[in-house]
Amino acid sequence: MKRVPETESYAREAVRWGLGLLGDAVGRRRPVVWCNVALPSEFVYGLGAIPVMPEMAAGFAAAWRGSPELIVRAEGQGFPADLCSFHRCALGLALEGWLPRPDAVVATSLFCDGARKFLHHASRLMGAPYFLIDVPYEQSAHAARTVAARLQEVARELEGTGRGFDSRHLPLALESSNRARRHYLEVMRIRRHRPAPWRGSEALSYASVFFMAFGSPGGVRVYRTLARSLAARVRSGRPAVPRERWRLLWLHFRPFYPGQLLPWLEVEQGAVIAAEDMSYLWWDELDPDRPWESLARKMTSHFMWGPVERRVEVMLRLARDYAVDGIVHYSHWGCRQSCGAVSVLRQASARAGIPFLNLDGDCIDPRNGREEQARTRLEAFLESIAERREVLAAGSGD
Amino acid sequence: MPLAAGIDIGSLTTKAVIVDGDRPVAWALRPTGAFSQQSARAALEEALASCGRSFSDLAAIVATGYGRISVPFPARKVTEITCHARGAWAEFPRTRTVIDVGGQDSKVIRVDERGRVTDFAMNDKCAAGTGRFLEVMARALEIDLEEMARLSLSARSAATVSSTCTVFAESEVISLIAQGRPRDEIVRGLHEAICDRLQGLVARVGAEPEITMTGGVALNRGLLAVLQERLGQRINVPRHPQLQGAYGAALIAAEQASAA
Amino acid sequence: MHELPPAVYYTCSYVPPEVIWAAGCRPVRLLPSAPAPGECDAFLPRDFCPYVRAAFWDLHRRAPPAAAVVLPTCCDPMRRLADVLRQHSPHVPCFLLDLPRTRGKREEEYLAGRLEEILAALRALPGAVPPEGGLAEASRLFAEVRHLLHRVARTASAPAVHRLIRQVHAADPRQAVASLLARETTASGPTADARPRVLVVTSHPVDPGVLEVIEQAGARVVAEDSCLGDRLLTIPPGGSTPRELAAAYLGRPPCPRMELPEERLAYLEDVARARGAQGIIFLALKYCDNLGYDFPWVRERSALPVLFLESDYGISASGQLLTRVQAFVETLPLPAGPPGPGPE
Repeated sequence: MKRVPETESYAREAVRWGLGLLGDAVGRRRPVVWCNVALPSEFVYGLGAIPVMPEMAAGFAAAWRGSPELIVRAEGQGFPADLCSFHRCALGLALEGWLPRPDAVVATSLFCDGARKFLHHASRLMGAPYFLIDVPYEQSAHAARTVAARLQEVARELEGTGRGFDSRHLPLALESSNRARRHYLEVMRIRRHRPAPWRGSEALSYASVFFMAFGSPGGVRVYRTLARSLAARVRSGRPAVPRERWRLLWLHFRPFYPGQLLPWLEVEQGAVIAAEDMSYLWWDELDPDRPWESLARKMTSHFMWGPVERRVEVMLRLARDYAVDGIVHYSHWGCRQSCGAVSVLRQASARAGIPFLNLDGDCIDPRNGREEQARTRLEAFLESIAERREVLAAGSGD
Repeated sequence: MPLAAGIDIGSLTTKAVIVDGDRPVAWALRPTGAFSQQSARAALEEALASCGRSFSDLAAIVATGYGRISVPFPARKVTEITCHARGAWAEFPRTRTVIDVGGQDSKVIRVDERGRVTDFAMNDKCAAGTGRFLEVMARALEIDLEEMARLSLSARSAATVSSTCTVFAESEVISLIAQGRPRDEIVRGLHEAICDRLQGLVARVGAEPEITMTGGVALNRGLLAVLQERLGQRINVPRHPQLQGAYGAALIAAEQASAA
Repeated sequence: MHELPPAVYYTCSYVPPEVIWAAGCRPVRLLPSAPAPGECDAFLPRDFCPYVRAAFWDLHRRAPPAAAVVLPTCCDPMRRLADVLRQHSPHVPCFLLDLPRTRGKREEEYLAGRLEEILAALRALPGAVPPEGGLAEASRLFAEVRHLLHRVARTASAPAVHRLIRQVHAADPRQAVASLLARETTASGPTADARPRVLVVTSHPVDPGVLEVIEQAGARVVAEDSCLGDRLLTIPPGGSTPRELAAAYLGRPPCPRMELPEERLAYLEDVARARGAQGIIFLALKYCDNLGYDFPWVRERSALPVLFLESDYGISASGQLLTRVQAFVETLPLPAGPPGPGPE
């Protein structure tokens, strides 16, 4: 029997985890919770339940070219076209009834209005109770206590529904998360290598693992094998792209529908995405003895909540640690919280002497994606970085 | 000196410029039509014919514009951002900001003292602020573009037209026409709305003098007047603003040929 | 010479002007006169709440600069406004008021704490002279202004009430009380009116001119749920402590930003019924997500016909608005009797 190459084994683990999750949810072996990506998955696993994130499901729908119809379905119900397409597509999925039915819908106010709003509609459509974990805007001990109390309160209520929620799974979920976290940090350390061992476009397509797998054994396996695979690539000199000319930091998500933009950028142009802010692991190790406080801190310490300076700090740190030549912000249609920060991010990049590009696009709706215009912008950006490098190499301008 | 060519294949028109070193010697402009490959070849052949040279005399070719990907002969591909910047700077060496308003998009480009791009901002999400929008509005007002310029210059005031969204703008213009508002005021209002959007693009990268405008819309003296007033400075306009992209492409090709 | 207390601007009706007044400052609801120009694109995206863009431009360019601005965390664009102001207009002191998205004892306590912080911060502004009576007196004054406005609202047209609300919100509450008391009260009770009655639902401070266009189109606006309209008048009186004030503000009928659709829909149904509304005009502010998510709830739950309109901030001379409202009005039945006085 042919041996599966090292580089494929992490993908195999990801598929195993994903299909297992789906199977459990559809087969109703455990209660199902719909939530947004900002809710720690450990909370859901910790209640013996399965997290289903419709925002991530929208990504899959887009990958299979199904998003336009779902979006049109949602718009037909009165949801305006200016809303984020992740959420319109997710609503389409809810309206069609294609996702495993939730026993509860748990939303958090992190990091955008749309998430808690679309989930409230979803709870109505699916006939499941809605819970909101409202997070204070400050990063303080008081805020963490407030959120911890609320998490505990919601957990009690869920347990009281008699649907099988059981918070005795919490310590195990947190321990599992910590193990996955250690492997993940190793992955991020290896990714600093030049040339890059992993393409950022693939890292971004693993967003669903990043948001949904922490707290499950599958998550541990994925990141353990990923760390091994990347280490092997570095040892044997197998970079992610044949000729790495540039290293980029990518901000926010990527187009999830099939297209040539990212392969063209990374492979043809050699501009590999070396790091992404959506892959940044921001939280400290969780304490299984103090589960509510740990989870609360995971939430209140997120860099996409609170003053934008937090996000700027992460951006600059990643730019430095991964030695990038430029930063690209993907301005996803309808994303007010991210796009509203662009002028600040741009200024901070300029001050740090790092070229910055704002790229308009749409992660979920290919009709709005404008791949061609995006390619032109990226190409012009790379042209200007190239000229800059020539100037620097020449020693001085004329 | 090497003979080089630049081809700019836009959505509406294809332009070819031939240079001898840095001196332009011939040019051609024709509609792109449905077959950009054919129009690219035809434009190049027309330009070559007009200066009595042939394809084999060309040391290098650079293709730009949206149709550059599928040009049917060997050519280096460079984006129109880099090409417009180079072309504008070559004609006006003190250019530090280029405003290009084309058929489908508009862009503002910052260049350094060597004509190299340092930053840029583009509007291609929305029709407002592009040549296409002006054409649509001209049809609604039943005038041609030359008339638009004249009317705008003679208007003493401007009707308010939304610059937030083309849909709002179009419906506003239709209302204004129905209300019997004089056409010169409507046209002036349209130009103000477009220039408001252009100012938005300019604001994103900052405007450093001198400013040069390229693209077909630069020939609209009415819009140009409004833009100059808003930016508070004179704007350079090349003799053939639609050719600037092809000219810049040709210069880049010539550089490549010299270096070889 | 008597110096005016420092003008502190605010951008949301969940920010209590009582607190600003009690700190010894002048509360002014920020109402920019026009949408932001293209130059604003350097700071905020074009596809973004037009009210927030206009607010930024106003604060960024205001000379002399505002003494301070109190910004709530009411929505994503407002949060980014605070960030962008801090970066690009550091000369304008900006205080963030974190607003809970639901209500209950814990939320009241939390909001009370935030209000106390704002009170303390504003008291420290140069020129702030806390008046006699502190928060209790400030609450009493603003409650009286709202009570008098409520009385006026019963007999005046919606656009007129709107204009009046905008006037008093830029004034000293004592002056507002005096001028409202001095107003001639017209005949008590609503007049007979053959026009179909509509409830206008929106979120932002809608321009009174827009309400006038709706009335020109043949409808009578018997109620409107907007940031600076009827919903303002629903804030219960009382609140001599930050905790009581927080309870009053959180206890009012929720706006689309809150995560309380059931309570909100119940309120809208009550108002529509009490005022005899026959149709709903849903005026969506372009790029306002919270309002965008509100629409499907209203559409689904309302027994009345709903017209969906999109608008920019301010008034755009759109014949489209007039035509669509006219067409909608033509589909509505004529009213049977006079409208009710409305919920207290």
